[in-house]
Amino acid sequence: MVAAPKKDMIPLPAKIEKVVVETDDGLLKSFYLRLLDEEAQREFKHTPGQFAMLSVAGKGECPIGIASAPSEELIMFTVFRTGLVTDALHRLPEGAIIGLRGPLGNGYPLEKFRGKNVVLIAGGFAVTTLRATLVYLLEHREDYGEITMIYGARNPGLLLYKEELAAWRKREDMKLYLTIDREAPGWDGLVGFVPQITEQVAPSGENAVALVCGPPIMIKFTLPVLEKCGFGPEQVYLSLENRMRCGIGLCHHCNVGPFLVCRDGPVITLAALKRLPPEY
Amino acid sequence: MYYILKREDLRPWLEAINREYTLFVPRTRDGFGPYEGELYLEGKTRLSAKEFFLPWREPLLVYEARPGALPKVVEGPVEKRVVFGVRPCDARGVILIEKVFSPDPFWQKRREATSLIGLVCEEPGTECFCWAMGVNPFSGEGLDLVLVPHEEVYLVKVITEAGKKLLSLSRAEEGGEEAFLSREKEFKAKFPVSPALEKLREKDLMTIYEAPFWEELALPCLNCGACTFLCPTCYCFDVQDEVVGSEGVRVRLPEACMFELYSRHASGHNPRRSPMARFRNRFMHKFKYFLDEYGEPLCVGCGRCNEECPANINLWDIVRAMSEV
Repeated sequence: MVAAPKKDMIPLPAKIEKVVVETDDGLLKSFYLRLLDEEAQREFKHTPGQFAMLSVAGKGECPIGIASAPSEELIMFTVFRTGLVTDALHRLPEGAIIGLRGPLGNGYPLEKFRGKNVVLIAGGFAVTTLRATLVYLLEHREDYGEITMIYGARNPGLLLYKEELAAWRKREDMKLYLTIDREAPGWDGLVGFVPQITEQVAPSGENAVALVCGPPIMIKFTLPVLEKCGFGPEQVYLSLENRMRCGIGLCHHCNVGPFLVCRDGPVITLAALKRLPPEY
Repeated sequence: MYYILKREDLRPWLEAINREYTLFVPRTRDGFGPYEGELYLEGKTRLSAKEFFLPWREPLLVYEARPGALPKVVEGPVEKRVVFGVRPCDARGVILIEKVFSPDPFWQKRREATSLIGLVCEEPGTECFCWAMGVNPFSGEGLDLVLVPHEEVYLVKVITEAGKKLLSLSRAEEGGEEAFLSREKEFKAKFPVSPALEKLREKDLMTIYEAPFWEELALPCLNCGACTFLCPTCYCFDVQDEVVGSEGVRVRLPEACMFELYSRHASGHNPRRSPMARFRNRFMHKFKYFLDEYGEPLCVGCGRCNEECPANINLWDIVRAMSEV
C-alpha cells in the first residue's frame, strides 16, 4: 500500500489551487495542491500518515504531513507558520507554484487495523494526518469497528476543519469528542485537556488501536491513560517529527538512534519507540 | 591479474592517463587536485577522496528567483575522471557511504564517471588503524587498480576492466603475484581486526547509549565538526537555497551532526540539545547504529580525526569505552 519512496531530491511543481485560513489567529492555512504534470497528479498515491517535502524556491524545503485522504482530488497540507519555508508559503497566493516531493515515510498500517476499533487522539494542529486517516476510515467504514476521535485545541478558534467537524459530529457511525482547554463564550462542548477527556471517554483497549498525535506534553499524559484503558504498547501508534533535509534516508538529520524518521517512520508504535534513545 | 610497474615508469604513466582523461592526484599533504606535476606520495592526504563523490557543493536545482518560476534540474557531473593515489582506507570509505547513497542519482553519476587507482601505504601512519576496522588494504575494495610500493617497483593488482584499460597505458609487465600475496599475508598476520568490533556487535544498543562515560569523554569536545568534515565516511549533508540577484540554486553541502542547528526543529525544540548528546550521536552512529544495520563500523581507521582534533580527543578512548561498558 505504501508507495515506493522517490530516491531523488527533485521536487515536482505543484499549483496552489486553494488556500483556506483555518484558525482565528491566521497561523494555520490549508493549501490544496495539484501537480502540474497530469500523470504525476494521477499517480500520486499515498497512505494517511505519510508526509511530503514542500518547497518554496529561494527559501528551502520542509516536511509536512499530508492532510488529504488518498481518495481526494487535491493534495492538501495544513501548515503552521513557524519557520523560513512555512512563512514564505503563507505569503503565497492561490495560483502560485511550489515544489512537492513525496509521498514519503511509512504511513499508518491501515490494512492491519481492519476489523479493529480505532481511536484517534489529536491535540492542536497535529490533527492533520489523523484527518486524512479519519476520512479514509469513514470511506471504508464496513472494514473497521467503532471509530472514536478525541480532538482538543486551546480554544474554539484554533480547531481545524470546522465544517467537517460539524458533519462528523452528526454521524451515527462514529463518535467525536471535541474539547477546548478553557471555558470560552459560545462553546457548549467539552472543556478540559485531551488526556482528561480521554480518561472520561475511556475507550477500551480490547481489539483496538489508538493513534495519538499532538504536542509532547499531551502525549506524555495521554499514554498512561491509554495504558489504564488496556492499550498495550503495540496498540498505540505515534507519529514522530524531526528536522529533515532529504526525506529519503540519506542526510541522517532525523535519526532517533538507528531509526530514521523519514525512512522508518514517521509512524511508530509505542513499543518500538520505547526501544529507542529519547531523541525526538 | 598481477603486474609489475617500475617506479621510474610511474610518471610517464600518469602523463599518459592525463592525456586521455582528467587526472586527479594527491598534490600536497592537504589533498587532491588536477595533475600538473606535483605529486605527494609520502602518506595519506589531509582531505580524503570522499570529496570526489560528496563534493563541497552539489547543486541540485537552479531557478529564476521570481514567483512561479519552474526550477531546472542540474544534470550533474559526467566528465570521466581518474583519481590516482587513493588510499585503501579512503576507498573503503566510498564503499561504506555507498551502502546508503547507492539510490542517489548524483552519487551514481559521480561513481560511474570516476576510476580510482589505489596506493597502499609503505608504512602505517602513526595514527592509522585501518586493519583494526577490518580494512584489508591489499583487497582493492572500491578501486579499479591497487598499487603496492615494493622495493624498486610497484606491485599492481587489477580489480576491474576499467583498471586494466588504464594500466595498458603504462609499461607495466605481468608478474609479481607471489610478492603481492606474500605482502598481503604478512600484513594480515601482523595487523589483526580489533576485537572491539565483535564486542560492539553483541552489546545492547541502549546499554551503550545510557552508559555513564559519555559526559566525561565528551567534555573536551568543542563540537567544531572538524572530524566530520575530514572523515572519509561521514556523509550527512545540508540543503540550502542560495539566491544571488535573480538566480537561485539549491545546493547540497556537507553538514556535521556536531552542530546545534543540525537537529533543531523550527519550533526551537532540539532533541540533541546538549553538546554531549551530539558527540554521543556521532559515535553511536559509527560504532553501533551503522554496525547493526550494515554489519560494519562506519569508520575506516584513517586516523584523521585523531590527528586533527583541536581538543586532542582520541577515537580509541571512545571505542574502548563503548565496547567495554
